[in-house]
Parts: sequence; C-alpha cells; structure tokens
Amino acid sequence: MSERTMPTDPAEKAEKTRIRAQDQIWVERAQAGDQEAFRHLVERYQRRVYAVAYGIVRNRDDAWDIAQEAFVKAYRNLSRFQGNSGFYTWLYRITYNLCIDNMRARSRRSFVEIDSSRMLQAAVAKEAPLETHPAKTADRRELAEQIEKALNQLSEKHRAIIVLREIEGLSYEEIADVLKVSKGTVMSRLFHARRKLQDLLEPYLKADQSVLPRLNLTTQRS
Amino acid sequence: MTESNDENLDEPGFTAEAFEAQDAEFQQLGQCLRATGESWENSQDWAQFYPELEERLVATVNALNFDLEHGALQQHFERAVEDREGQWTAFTQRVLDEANRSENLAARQPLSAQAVEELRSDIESTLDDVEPRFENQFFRQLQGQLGPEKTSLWQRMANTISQWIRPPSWAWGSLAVAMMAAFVLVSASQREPLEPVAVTAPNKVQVDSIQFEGTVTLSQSEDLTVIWLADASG
Repeated sequence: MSERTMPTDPAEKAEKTRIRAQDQIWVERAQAGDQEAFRHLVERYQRRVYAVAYGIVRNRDDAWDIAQEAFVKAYRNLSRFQGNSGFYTWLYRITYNLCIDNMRARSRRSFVEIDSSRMLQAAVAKEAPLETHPAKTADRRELAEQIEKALNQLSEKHRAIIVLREIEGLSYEEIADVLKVSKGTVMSRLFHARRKLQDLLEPYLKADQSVLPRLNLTTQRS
Repeated sequence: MTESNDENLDEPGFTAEAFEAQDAEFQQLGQCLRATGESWENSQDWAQFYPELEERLVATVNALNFDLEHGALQQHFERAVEDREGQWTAFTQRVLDEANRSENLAARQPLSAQAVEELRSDIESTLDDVEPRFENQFFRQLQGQLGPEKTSLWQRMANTISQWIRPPSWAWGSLAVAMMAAFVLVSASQREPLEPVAVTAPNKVQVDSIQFEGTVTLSQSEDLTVIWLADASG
C-alpha cells in the first residue's frame, strides 16, 4: 500500500501480470465447479476485500459480513465474469456496491455505528513515546479524533475513492473499472474528496506549520 | 451498477492545476510537462488521454534522466550550486523554482495526507486484530454459504461411466462369490452328475449367466470357501 510514484516499476507490472494470469486459471477451474480453486482466490483477496469494506463502512462486523457476501456473490456469478478486467477489480466492484447498499440501509435506520474511534486513539497512544508531554499527547489524541470525525463525515463514495486510491493503491484506470465511471470522473471525485477532507480539517492546521518539510535553500547571485 | 454524478460529487473547481496541487503522481506529470516546455492547456482533454500522456511523459523523464522526487530536487540544486560555485544559471533557477513549488504543494496538503495515514493505520490495526478469524474462520464460514461443490452434467456422466469401466475392488470379490454360487445352484437344481464347466485356469470358473432368488450363506476356512444357497421357493 505504498504511495504511487511515476513511472510504474517494470517489475511491479510483471508481477501484476503474473498474478492476473494465475487468477484467471483459478477462476476457470472455479467456473468448472472446483471449490478448491475458489478457495485460493478467497485466501488471496479476503484481507484486501475486508480492508476496502472496513475503510468504507467503518464498522468491523459489517465489514466482515460484506466481505463474506462479496465472495458468495462472486462465486454465484462466476459464470458472468468474462476476464476483460482483473478478477480483483471485479471483486472490488462487488464489494463497493455492497458497501453502498450497507451505508444506505444504515442511514435509513438512522443509526451509525462507529467503533473505530477507540482503535484510532489506541494507535495514537501506541505511537506516543513515554516521555512525551501529556499536553502533546492530548493534542495528538484530539487531532486523531478530529481526523476520525472528518473521515466519517465524508460521503461513502468519497471515502471509497480515497480507500481505493490512497490505501489500496489502485490506478485511475482500475478505479474507473471498479466504479464503472470514466477516468476523468475518478480524478474529479478524488479531487473533491481530498478537498473536502482538507476543508474539514482546516481549523486544526497549526499557524506556524512547524511540522511541514522545509527546503533550506540559500542562494547567492553572482 | 452504473455510478451517477449525484451528491455534488463533481462541483466546479476541478482543473488540472488544482488536481496537481493534491496528487503526488499528477504533480510529477505536471513537472515533466513544464520541463519539456509544455503546459496542461496544451494537453487537450488531459484526463481522457491520460494513458497516452503518461506514456509520453515517462519517455521524457527517462530521456532527461530527471528525478522529480522532492528530496532529489533539493540535492540536485545543492550540487548544482556547488559545481557552479554559487553562480546562477537559468537551469539552477528552474530547479529552485521546481523545488519551491513542490514545497508549497506539500504545505497545502498536510492534514488530508495525515488523515489518509491515520485511516491506513486504522485499517492495518484492524486487519491485525481480525487476522486469527481469517486463519480459522473465514473460508469455513463461507463454505457453508457456497453450498455443495458444483459439477456439470458432463462431469457427472463421466464419473458414472468411469465407475462402470473400473468397478471398485470389492465388486470383483462379489463377482467371484456369484460365480461360485451359480456353480452350486446349477449342480443342486439338476441333481445330475456335474457337468464339468470350462476351467480356464486353476481356481477360476467361467460362468455364462447367473439367476438366483433366495439367501446366500458364505463359510470360509483356511483353504476352502463354501457358499450355501437357500432357494426362496423352498
């Protein structure tokens, strides 16, 4: 899940091609009824499917159920998979649609479970060294809470595109395939998602910007 | 499901330059463009032709051997200043401009990037917590929902035919018992001296047909097997 840089490493491309070819073999066997072949696909993608689901719905139990349902749907509709895209983009599409359905159902119930706050705080506390001043720890915790709140204020579609791009590292083309939109729409949606996140967090941007990287460039003109 | 442009997802304000301010990969493309004297305005429909644009710029980067990473720009500038003993050239000015530009871009997006890192950390932490469930439970739970393994009609036919051609080992024993039974039945019903049956080899009996209704009792000793047949008609 590292930040994407340009140009794409040839080794990375070759690995992707190899994985896609292997997936295709397992898919064909699974289409013929071989459940063991489908098991290979499940074991390869179960964590990533869960990660996408959790990133969007922000609830562990719902994410688990969505991940299960995504694989069940994939298995039952294997005959429809034609191999024009990679198996994992098809699987991500199923997962994304299930997440959207889940969020809509939850909003109809007017009940939103957010159980990640404790986890986020635990992550912040874990990273804070023991000798840190309590005030700084409190600042970090407050910032973590505000980040958590901002993430949950994003629409599920905005959150989805951030998860697919920033966390899963999908290319614009792959995301376009998952979401069934044009690449321009992917870029536009990603732009607005990031800007929304920045706007929500703007009040917490420190005035001195001391955490920002600086180039100590001095010049002398001859 | 086809996505629709709803929920104000595509508000105005989305331009190549604005997107470049957010996106590290797109920023690199922009730097490549400017390094070759081009601009986003000249690259019509840049989003639509992104793959072609990217390929061209990749070729340009490789040709120029131009490392666009922020830290590398700084080092490049410092080396250039050292080499020229502080003398400015248009080239060093251009490098400085690019370095400052990337710093400004980074300054504009600290919190959204930090938010993404927190999200990534949260997801990874959650994955660690549920890892035991993946190891022990996920596929087993899934299997209950997948149902029995599907086989095609052709596979079922092939399985049946293969059973006829290659009967299981116990079937050979049954056939031997049936042969012996037929031998005894024939001799009992006819009450005549037994006609010798064709013997193809020691301990082998050749039987043409078998018909029997009744019960069969099998007795075995060390080197003798006796089959008792009780005719149902009495």
